[in-house]
Amino acid sequence: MTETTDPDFQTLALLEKQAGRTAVVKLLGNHRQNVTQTIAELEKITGNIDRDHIHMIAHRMQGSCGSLGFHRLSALFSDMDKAVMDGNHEQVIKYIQEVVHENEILADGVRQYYPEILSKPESSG
Amino acid sequence: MSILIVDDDPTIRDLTSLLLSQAGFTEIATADSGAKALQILGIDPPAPSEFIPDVILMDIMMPGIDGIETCARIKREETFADIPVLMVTTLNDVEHLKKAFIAGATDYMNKPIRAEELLARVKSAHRLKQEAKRRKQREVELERMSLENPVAPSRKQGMVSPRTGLPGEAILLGTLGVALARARSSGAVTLLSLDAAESFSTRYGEEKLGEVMSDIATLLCHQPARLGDLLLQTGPAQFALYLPQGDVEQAETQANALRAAIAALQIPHEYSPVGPALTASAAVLSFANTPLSPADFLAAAYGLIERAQSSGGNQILVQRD
Repeated sequence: MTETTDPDFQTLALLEKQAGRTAVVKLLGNHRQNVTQTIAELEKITGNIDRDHIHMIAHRMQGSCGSLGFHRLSALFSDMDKAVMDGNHEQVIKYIQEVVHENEILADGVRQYYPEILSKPESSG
Repeated sequence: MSILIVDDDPTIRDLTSLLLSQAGFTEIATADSGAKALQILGIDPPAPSEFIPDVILMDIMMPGIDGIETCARIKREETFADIPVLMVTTLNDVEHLKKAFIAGATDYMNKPIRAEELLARVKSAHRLKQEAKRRKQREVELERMSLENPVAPSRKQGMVSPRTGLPGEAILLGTLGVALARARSSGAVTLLSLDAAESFSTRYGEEKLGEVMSDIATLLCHQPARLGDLLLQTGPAQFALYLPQGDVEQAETQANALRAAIAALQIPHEYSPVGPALTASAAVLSFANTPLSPADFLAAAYGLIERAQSSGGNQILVQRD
């Protein structure tokens, strides 16, 4: 059973108590794959910003990251969503970089608490 | 209970399915888009339904057909018209929610998903479905009764409360039916429900609850009212006020006064989680231009009062339109 005081992993630890580790590992593994693919897609963005597309991605990721308890990542996607809706493209690029950085920190946590998920490098598929 | 989860986000689908299956829900289907949901239900393309859910959880923002349009298309089908659709969204803006309710959504909950809230809302939506079904049957029965015998005795269940002599739920349904059939209906309904009535009945007995309801009915009858306002008893511990032409602000003010009057009676209630004396919660709803049927409107009102009571009681919740 995962014992942690890391606020990012409290929700999953609670879920693990209810549903068991196997279910949580599967859920988190799929989520990590989803996040990795999404971030790879965002990293390709340099100049032209497709407002609706980024809005859709940021909105979706805000909900799913938040639902698993990854509140910092969720908040960054929320800020990115607001920036893209405000037409502030510079800020959008800045938030993409912050998301990449925050995701690396989160990956460290996943390695620590759920090593079976990240036993091989995350791939963008 | 069977549930259809419609969300473009695989994490939300996985998490919601996991939480619901952990809570004992075994029949769960998922759709990654509005189009897929319509296909599963056999709406588009038209086909026999693969799955008939008891409750639908629907994301609002999805690529292609969004959740609001999907909800509207589902609700247009007679087979699915009574299935509660619970909107799940990160969006907080009132306009989206308003559109969702116009499209026929029953309730909403915000992402991030929280297990306790999810389960409470799903169970509540299912209860509402059962309630709506029961009320619809009663509506049909009422219509049949009035056709067969226009002066049928009003002692039939739901017509008049035997204890207080107040008109009952069936009268409210009939009255709402007439009002909502008008092109431009306006008015409000207030439900006033005693908090922790079941535990009151357990502690002091049903007879005592009946006495208390009778006392409160007398009290309510002496409150200032406009000509045309109607006081009813819609449950063993519940009153309703039908306020034709009334708006929710007036209704809210009045409901506050009625709650204060009940609290002032200082009727002891040892088992109440709210306080040492009996309290009441209220739900105020406008029926101005509502697209709902009388039964669905009343089911929404019951949902609102249940929410007021399950979130602590001794409060008023208002649904403006």
